[in-house]
Amino acid sequence: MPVRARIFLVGFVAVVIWATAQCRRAPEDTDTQVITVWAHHGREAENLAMRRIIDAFNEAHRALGLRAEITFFPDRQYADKVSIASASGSLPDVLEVDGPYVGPWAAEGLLQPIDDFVRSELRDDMLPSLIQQGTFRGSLYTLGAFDSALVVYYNRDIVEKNGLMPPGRLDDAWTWDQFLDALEHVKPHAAVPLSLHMDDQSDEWFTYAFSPLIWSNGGRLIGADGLTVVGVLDSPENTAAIRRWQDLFQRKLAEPTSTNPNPFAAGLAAFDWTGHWMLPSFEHTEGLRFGVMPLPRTGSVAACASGSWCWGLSRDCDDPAASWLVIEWLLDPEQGIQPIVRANGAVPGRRSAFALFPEYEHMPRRLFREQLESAAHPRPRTAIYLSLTSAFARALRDIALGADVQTALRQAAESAQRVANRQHDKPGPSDNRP
Amino acid sequence: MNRREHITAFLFVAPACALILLFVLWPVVNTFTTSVYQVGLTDPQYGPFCGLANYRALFDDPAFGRSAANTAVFTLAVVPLQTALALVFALWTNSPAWSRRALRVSVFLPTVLSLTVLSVLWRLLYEPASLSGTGLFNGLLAGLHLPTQPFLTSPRQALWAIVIMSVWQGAGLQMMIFLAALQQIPAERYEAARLDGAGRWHQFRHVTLPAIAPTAFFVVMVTTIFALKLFVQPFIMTRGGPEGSTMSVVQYIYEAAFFARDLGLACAAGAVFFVAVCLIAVAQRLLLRVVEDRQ
Repeated sequence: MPVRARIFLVGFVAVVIWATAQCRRAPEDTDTQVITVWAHHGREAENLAMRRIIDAFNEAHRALGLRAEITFFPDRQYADKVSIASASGSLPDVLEVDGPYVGPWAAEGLLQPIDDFVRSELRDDMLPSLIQQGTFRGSLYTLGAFDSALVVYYNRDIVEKNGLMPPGRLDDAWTWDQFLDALEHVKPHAAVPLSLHMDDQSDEWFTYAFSPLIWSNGGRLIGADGLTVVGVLDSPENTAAIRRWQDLFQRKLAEPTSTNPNPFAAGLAAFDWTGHWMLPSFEHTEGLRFGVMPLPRTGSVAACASGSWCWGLSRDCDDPAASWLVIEWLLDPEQGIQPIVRANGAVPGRRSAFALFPEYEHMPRRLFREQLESAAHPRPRTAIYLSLTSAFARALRDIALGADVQTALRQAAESAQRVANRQHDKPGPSDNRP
Repeated sequence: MNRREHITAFLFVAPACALILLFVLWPVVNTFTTSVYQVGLTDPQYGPFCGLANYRALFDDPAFGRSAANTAVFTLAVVPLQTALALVFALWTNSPAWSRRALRVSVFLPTVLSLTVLSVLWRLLYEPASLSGTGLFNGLLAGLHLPTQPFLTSPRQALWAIVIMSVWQGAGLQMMIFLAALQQIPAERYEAARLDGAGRWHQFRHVTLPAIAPTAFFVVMVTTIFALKLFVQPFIMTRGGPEGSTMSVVQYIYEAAFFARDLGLACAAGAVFFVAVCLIAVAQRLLLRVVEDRQ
């Protein structure tokens, strides 16, 4: 090797070693305790708000020697990233958790209970749906700064002109027959009587959006033990409720696939079954006059969906008391809830926080709040949730395309039960049943 | 070679060997070991040793059988279709004329694009007639007064719709490999064949085909392995539905690991899949040797 090349090689190796060493050199204030926080990568405004909230926390806790460091991960890979970090023992202190993951992650021992830190004032001030969402086998694992609401939007120009008056209160929610009648009524006046977003790529939309049909008819997705699916998911009540849903497709009131992801904003749909997150864009759509009504009932009770991102402490968190301060800050109405909710448009998670949001006194947001305070169900918290939701979503997709309801639900139940049975045989944290 | 050259050679190969050991061999060995333990996705340690229990659970699961059958049908359909189409395109575009070169580029283009993006586009193309609009293919069928088709929404058609899309997407790369082989054939052979009075078919049959046979075997082998790894197209276009008709083995493994959070089961499925792919590749290799020996 010529001398010049050798010098170059040695120099190159030296630079690489130096650069690697630089990466490892974190800011080393020996007096500062660093709390690591992982969050999902939302829209830009949301990430910016999160950064500001964490900066304000660091400012306020400088004297205590605490500093939070937040890292964002892309939404779709977030859960896989956390699972892998758990297996390699490198979880952060504070974790953002998507509602449906509370069950699996608590069962796997990835989260630690936070009951000891939650004062009764805070517990009573939280929306009941968020307490339910964070509770697994009697312990509280997570709390969230906001929640979600699922409603039916209607186009006033189509619906009211045809003499229909949709209800604005939960108690007055339409029955399924009233709903079908209304859809038949507007069918000649709208290309799509009801938009159900069946083109959604995630399984979670289906479980989130259509479980209320089952709850309203007195059914459940999974037994109270979190491990019985056969006989529960395919129960007669559920079959009846989902048959009523299938009517929508068979009577051509809704489409099982869609080329248009947002027919409601285009004025093509009379009704739109979707969440609070569409409200800001509908409000900004020129020429769209719309109203909001609660989901129709398939049975005797009104039911609606809830659930969103929330915060928990990981198994690898060494100083839970200090890390809890970060969560407490994120749940503070002024410091945490107000900035993030202003950025993402979700429903504030604490009753006291509504004082900062006067718009929740009026429709349509009044309905969001009313639902969450009285009738909202989070999705079931079970160790096998991810298999349950994928099996249920698969069944609903097939049912919309004309599959037999009873058969599809039975197959979904059997496939989730297979996973539950293997879970049951397995020792470990998931066996700590009450 | 002297000693010094030996060392230099070793140093040149060492990084590649280290990477293969670390990222290919070690994971394979790890898959086999994990498959005989009870272990959840997020468990920091293995659970108890369970022998072949994971394999028993795997073969008891009708969804695994279904996904294996789907993958087999997909492979058996894609490999001959894609190889034949690639050869046809290669013969057709094997000319310096600019129009042929443009055609070559347009056939090659889909292999450069992301499979995910193409799957999303084809899902829209296959969209059935619905209340808010119609996909392009059904629009064309309707325009020609032909019956519209459910394509991806029918358990009978969905897998074939994915076969067609995959053949279209993959044929370009194989075409390039065939083109390289075609351009290696000396022109004198065709001249000699013509002097002997061979027509176009006989030239193809007795000059072209024997010359590109080894390349064809290579193409078939690579296509088989690619086809067996089917995942992205059905995962995006149908999510394995309708009624499980497009569920692939790789999707089964993904769901066992990340939905059922059952790493033991997922590794058992991965091990079975690995052995099956190896056996198929070895069988093809042996077949190639037999054919080569006969020539």
